[in-house]
Amino acid sequence: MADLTLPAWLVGDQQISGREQGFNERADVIVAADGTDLNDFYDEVLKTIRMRNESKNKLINRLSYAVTGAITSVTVPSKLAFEEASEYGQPVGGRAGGIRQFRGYDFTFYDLAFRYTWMFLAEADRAQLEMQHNLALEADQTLVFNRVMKTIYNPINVQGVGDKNEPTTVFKFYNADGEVPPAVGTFTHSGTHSHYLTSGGAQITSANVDTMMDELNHHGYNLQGGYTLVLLVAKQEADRIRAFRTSSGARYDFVPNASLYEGKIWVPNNGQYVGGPQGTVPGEIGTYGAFHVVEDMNIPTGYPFAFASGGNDNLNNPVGIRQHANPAYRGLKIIPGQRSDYPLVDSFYRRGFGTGIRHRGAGVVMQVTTNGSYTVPTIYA
Amino acid sequence: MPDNDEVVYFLMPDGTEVSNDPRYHDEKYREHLLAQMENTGNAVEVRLAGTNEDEDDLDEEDGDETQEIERLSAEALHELTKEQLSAYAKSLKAAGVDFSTRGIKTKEDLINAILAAS
Repeated sequence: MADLTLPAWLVGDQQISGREQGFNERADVIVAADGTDLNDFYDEVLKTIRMRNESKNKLINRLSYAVTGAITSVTVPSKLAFEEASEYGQPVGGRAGGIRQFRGYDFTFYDLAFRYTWMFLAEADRAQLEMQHNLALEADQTLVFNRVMKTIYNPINVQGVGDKNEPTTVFKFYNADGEVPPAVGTFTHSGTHSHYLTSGGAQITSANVDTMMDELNHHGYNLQGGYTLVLLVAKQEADRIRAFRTSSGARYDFVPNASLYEGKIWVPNNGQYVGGPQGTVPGEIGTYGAFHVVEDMNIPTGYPFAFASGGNDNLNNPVGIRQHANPAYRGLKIIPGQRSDYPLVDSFYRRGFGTGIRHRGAGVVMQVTTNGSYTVPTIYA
Repeated sequence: MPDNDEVVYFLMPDGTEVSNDPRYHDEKYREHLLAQMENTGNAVEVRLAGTNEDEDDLDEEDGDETQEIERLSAEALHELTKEQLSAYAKSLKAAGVDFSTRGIKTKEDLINAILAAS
């Protein structure tokens, strides 16, 4: 399907205004006084909601993995090494195992109520009720999306609470909290290692993007490791990245997504005929080196975010979404009201979940600024 | 980007500094403790001539200009603020009155050192 750019008013997360709160009463029943087919009207509303949700869903699936415990462990294999044999001595005994790094997740219940009068229910069309339900679904996806984004963009570790009220630390990407990342190959790090960077310039440069790629690479998150590297950017950064070329000093050429070009090939500056890169991720505008560059309107301007993904809901994805240990409390639930004749009257929606970073080296956030310190974006503070 | 030894902190949108770096919290806690100690008068950080290079340079420039200093009694010394006492001790040093500043941590220590040199 061709990419479609939607106007901000259609896809944005507007604040709830006064008219969207309170009881649904008989006067709120929509009638087609002008002869409009109400089914068409609600079909259009539902399609719009689906379009809003599509990009968020794809993003969250690529980024996250569902967990059910308050704490999970991520294991890094230990290393053994041979030593030179001596004629008389015994070699040092090896003790193979792994480093278990414990990752915590917070957990909160959220709810949303729709209140209907019995007269509203008596008069309302089924389509109108479906629309309300779909708005609730959209609110749920926005909630999950915003929580995941806050987990990514806010570098401060927080305290979560486990099932038995035991405190757990909810980690973010490496943020100089003293945890020393495991050595990978020749790369070693210190406890001040941080994946919340600033660009040092007012506009993103190819060197900035190279730095983000290196930050993932030196923790072992690379193509050779079976990961897909994704760079999420806002339009401002996407426009700059589209112009990256080796001829102007970049490490790689930006190669546009073939599906955006009818010919499905790309001819770079030197005139050589080449094929386009294989495989794309949803929303991709092109590739830069190993990065699949995705322009997304949910990414704040001036805050590119790079991550390594193992696939949809994959164990190797950086963010963990914690669900309740009891399957009955997982996912979005609709709780019926007390009146058996009109169970919708006092019904409400409930979702319980938490988030946390599982792979602390698998994501890098960079703020495009001349300031030396990373500032949390307002929208995801 | 290679790691360095600088203390890492981040900013919230309202400009508040936040950090996960344990050294950042150590620094803030130390500042807090010092402020508390000054408020309660339990300890006063005193900087004397000879402990600061910049001040030493200044002293050298006008080092020849020694002058007579009026010696204050113990009671008068106790009435001075820590800044006044520090300035007084500095002027005594400049005037050639020799007393040891080693191990001085409180206002009381300094007064005793000055009196002992009298």
